[in-house]
Amino acid sequence: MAKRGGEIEALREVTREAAREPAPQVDWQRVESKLLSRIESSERSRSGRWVYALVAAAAAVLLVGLGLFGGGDAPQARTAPPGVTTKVIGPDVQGTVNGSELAIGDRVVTKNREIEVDHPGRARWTLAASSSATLADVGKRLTVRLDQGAVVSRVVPRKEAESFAVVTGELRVAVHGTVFRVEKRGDRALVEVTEGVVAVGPASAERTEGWLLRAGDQGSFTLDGRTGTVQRAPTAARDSQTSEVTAPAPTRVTAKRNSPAPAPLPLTPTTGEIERRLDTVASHVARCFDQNTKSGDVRVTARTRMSAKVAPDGSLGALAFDPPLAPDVHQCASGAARSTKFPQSQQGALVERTILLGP
Amino acid sequence: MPAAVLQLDRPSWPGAAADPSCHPVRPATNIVAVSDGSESQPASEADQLVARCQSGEAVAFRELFRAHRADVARLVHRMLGPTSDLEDVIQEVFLQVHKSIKDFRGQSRFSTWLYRVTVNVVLMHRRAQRSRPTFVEQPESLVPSDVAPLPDEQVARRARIVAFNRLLDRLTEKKRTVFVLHELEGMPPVEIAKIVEAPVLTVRTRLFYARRELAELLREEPALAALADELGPSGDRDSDRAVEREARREPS
Repeated sequence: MAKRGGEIEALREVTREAAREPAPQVDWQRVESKLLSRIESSERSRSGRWVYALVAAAAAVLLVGLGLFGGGDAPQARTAPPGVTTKVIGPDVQGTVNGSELAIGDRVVTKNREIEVDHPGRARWTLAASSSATLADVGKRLTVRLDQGAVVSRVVPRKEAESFAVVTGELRVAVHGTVFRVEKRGDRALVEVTEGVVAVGPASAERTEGWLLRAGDQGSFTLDGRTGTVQRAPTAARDSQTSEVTAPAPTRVTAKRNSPAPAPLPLTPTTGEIERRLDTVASHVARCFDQNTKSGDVRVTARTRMSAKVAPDGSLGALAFDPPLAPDVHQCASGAARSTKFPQSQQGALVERTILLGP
Repeated sequence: MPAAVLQLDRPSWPGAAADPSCHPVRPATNIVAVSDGSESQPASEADQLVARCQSGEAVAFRELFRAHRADVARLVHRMLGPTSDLEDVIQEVFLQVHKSIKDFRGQSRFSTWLYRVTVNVVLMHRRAQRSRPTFVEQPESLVPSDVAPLPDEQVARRARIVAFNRLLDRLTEKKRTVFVLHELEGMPPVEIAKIVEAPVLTVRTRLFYARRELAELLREEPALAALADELGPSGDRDSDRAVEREARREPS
């Protein structure tokens, strides 16, 4: 029989110890500086929006009155209203734009060619053709808001984490590294990391938490930053600078007379191909969850991260769930998903997706 | 989504000084501090600092921050436990203070109002953390690797506090909040009631159940079970009755 007693004294004692425990050291200078910087940014953008709204309203009234109001092709470079510091750069700007001369709210617009913006010592970002982006923050975390199209960013490594970020919708991709590409495609954002590490997650959080993507990884995320599919680079791709990469086994091809040589397989399946197959797998999992979850009058939902290896031949390896699903559900899902075939590739892929189950 | 407690941002009106400190609300006058609805008292230095901040003095907010930052840091640390988000949450608290200080009417002590803001920001932070997708890669450990080894007793005490924080984490938000405010911050139930905006009886009830639950969970943590064995049973043979009695212990 377990010993009992002493709990009261122990609770009192540990409470006293916890009450005596000092708070950890805080870098007050940094906290104060960041706090005042955020207050200042918030004041500037608020007063800018307010003044812009007032002037824009007045301008609209004037234009309507003069009968000059009309539509135009988008995206058109707009002339900033008087008294407002935001400006629009592009689409015909020549050379690299000096980021130090930009302020919060300034917008870059491209049409037929890309525009490069350089923030000396911090980052260089290239806005693809037919894209638009706004400079959202110039403080400790240099932030670009991608409104349309795609941007490639190359970031100077700094001691502080998240020194640079790209925001699109409610999703933030923050740098802990390096070279990465963010594309807004419909209601999703595609992220590819070439060098270093980025964190991807909801922009509403002060610090970006969610997925960590390293060199060679690709991901597709909803614009609220809460759901995503990540395709991991094989370990060899990440370690290619320091270790030998084993060449994949050659694919046997039976050549027919007068037939053209088969196209080489891609290194990994494309994100779009993976997305479509994962949609099928996710629907199998959802069906198995519904069939094997007896809930009566209670509504049962679950949120889990599903991961699996896709072999070079396109077959799907064992499914893993975190948190785990009930054994019946897992077994049913694994059986149903086994028939899903991914495209062939040289290296296969490691894929993950967060799924919501239940009504 | 948590209920909105603090007022949303309002744009500043034309003519407002482009000043990174508080919104101008009313010109500084003879602010009379009212404590707990009793007779008026002359404004103290602390009240005057708040008034200066409300009237838009840039320096005043900085002074306010420096005067209260340690208290806020201590409370955030006690409510969240060890976390790498401490500085972020402290920042968030004072950001909310800056946004909402014009709404402080002086009907309670400023410290009470500040604690209320802090508690609400911490609770929102915890809720936001629960809804975030988890990292695929584990974040780096928060334990520094270059710290010299501690004496055994300090190691044991550290382990007990870590275990205690784990137990606290298992309480509901409401029970944990009142336990932290009373047992760790030393606040009386009357003041806690103003902070959590609940009746005093409700505060006492939550405290009762918090103590009982912690005592019952204690043995699930080996470090605390060892402490319980070391300190021995209470004088009462029936330890369940002892737990009840402790839980009912009148809060000071």
